[in-house]
Amino acid sequence: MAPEELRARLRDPGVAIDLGACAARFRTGYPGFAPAMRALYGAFPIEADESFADATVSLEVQRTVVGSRLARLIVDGESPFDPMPLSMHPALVEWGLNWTIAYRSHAWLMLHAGVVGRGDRALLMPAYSGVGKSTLTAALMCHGYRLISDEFCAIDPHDGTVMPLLRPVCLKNDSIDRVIERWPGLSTGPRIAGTRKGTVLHVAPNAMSVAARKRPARPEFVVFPRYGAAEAPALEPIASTRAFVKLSGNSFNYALLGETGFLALTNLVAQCRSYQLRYSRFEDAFDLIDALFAETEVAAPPIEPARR
Amino acid sequence: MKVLFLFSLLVDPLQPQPGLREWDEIVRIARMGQVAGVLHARYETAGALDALPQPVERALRSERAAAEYRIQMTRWNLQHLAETLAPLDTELVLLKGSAYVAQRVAWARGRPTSDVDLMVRASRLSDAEAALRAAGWRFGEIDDYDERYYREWSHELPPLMHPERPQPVDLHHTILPVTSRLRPVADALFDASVPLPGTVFRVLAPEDQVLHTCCHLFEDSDMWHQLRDLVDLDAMLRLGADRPDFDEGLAQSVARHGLHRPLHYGLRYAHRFLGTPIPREAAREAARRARTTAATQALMDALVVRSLLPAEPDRATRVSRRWAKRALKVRQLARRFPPRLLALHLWTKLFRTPRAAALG
Repeated sequence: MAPEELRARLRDPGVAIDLGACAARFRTGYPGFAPAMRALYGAFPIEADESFADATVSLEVQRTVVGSRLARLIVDGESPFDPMPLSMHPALVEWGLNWTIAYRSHAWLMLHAGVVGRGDRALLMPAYSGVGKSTLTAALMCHGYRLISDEFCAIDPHDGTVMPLLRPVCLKNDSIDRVIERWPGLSTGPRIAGTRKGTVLHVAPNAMSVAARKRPARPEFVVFPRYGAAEAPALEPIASTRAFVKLSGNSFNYALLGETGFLALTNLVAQCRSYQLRYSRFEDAFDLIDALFAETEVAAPPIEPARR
Repeated sequence: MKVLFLFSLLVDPLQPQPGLREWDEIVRIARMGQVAGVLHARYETAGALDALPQPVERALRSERAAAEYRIQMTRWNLQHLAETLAPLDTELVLLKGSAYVAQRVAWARGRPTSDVDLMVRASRLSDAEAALRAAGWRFGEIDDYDERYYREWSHELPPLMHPERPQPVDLHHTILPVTSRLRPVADALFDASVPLPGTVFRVLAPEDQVLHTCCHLFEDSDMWHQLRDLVDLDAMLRLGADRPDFDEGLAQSVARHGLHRPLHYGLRYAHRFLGTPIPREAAREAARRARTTAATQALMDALVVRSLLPAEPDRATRVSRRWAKRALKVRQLARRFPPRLLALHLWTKLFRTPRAAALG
């Protein structure tokens, strides 16, 4: 779509994108948003204006008394986030949309995890801050895996599959150059310094991942990554009970879903093999994870459907 | 206006369905008005979930799940409160959302709750407070003015919190501030209240629940939950319409408590926006003594339309809407406090706190 047309549609009626598990609509009269939108969502088809969106975010520009411009996000008449300097608007939109999705996707068990896949087999990497989940997720996408999610692992409680929920991968600080220098052709948003997470850069999901975003995958592996410059590469099995505890503490709505969440997570760890991954170089992580997927598929135990 | 479509779907899901883009706006308005979970439940009750487009059903199911979680937290809270307060051997009357949860009324399925509102007779208020404090409930941080506001002029104590309970408790002794122009007869509310079988709790008589909702809408609202309150009112009135003695009971009750004006407005706007059947005798009684002039009525209509119906979801709240809410709040405050107290209250709220909290 031509930049002028994109700007016009962003102004009205908004541009809707199907992210997989949910759809988002972006609206703004600010012309500067269109380039970031093209860079981060260029691989997504634009949905019909008549489509339904789970979340609609409107970006507004606000002038302060001293004349500087702030980016402000409106979600359903409310402005639940502090405005940010206008130059940071792509980050505000990403985080605001993530926040909104996190609070209204209770049709799924929402785990905080990066997810990559090969065909319909998925590997989950639960997020603990600082372990390098996003970095490894982006790297695995570049290595040829299908990106299923960087933030939200949306488990369907009724059949135990993970539904893609594609968001741009948010790289932070040192990890930006580790990824960008190695894969310079990636489509990214602007590098934004001085946010509350430091310097950030968003990486767009690639075309292969976008094309498969409506195809659920079956979780087979739960891998807790640990990055350290001095870590010797290792992949050690961990007990499914431990994986359960770690995953339940890292979910957006495990408690809210009650029994449904408990059954979905019990089924998930029962059908997966869980590991701790230590690595310092991407190659080591790739080798270990490729080896996992090369093993024959283990027959998954039958899913006991969670009650609605 | 899409909000009217939302209202009509809430009342009757079995009708020509909106298109996807209409749904988009309806779901957003329903979320803003806190009735999205209710909408899902009403489709479920009508056996009409299959009529919902899949993404719409999923979005509403999500809101429903969030509401059910909060409802469950309220139930849990009620269980503990029952143990704590049963030994007082006094009437424990649940109000509003917590009452609907305890009554398990079908129309309130999917309606999220955020606290427990509990009313005890004024003579037992300090006993109830002491029992709750002994069980670990504490007031949040409040200053001397707020403490005085609640203790002397309000109809409830400051919210009580408990470190192990997810939702606070508001302990009431009547349904409107004691300084209000309107003075419902608290003892009569207790006398007419009905026990909930199998629990230690009671709820207001159905007629008084209607009056309380009207009071809440027009005399004591936080101004942001009005849409939901109106949907509650509609459901209660529809339920009442099936009972032969309801109209007469409501007429008697409104006369006893002198709550003509809130009932008059409640019936007027429920009928206007949701097509709610009007209990004729009660409406006549309310209109007769509400004594609204044409000018007040016109002003009220203008303010309520702006305040109660949700704004456009893609914009920050419009200035006219903010001012309509403020105007209604000022009206409430003016009716709540005698002039001298009002001046003190506004003075304190405006100049003591950094923001004009009193004006919302």
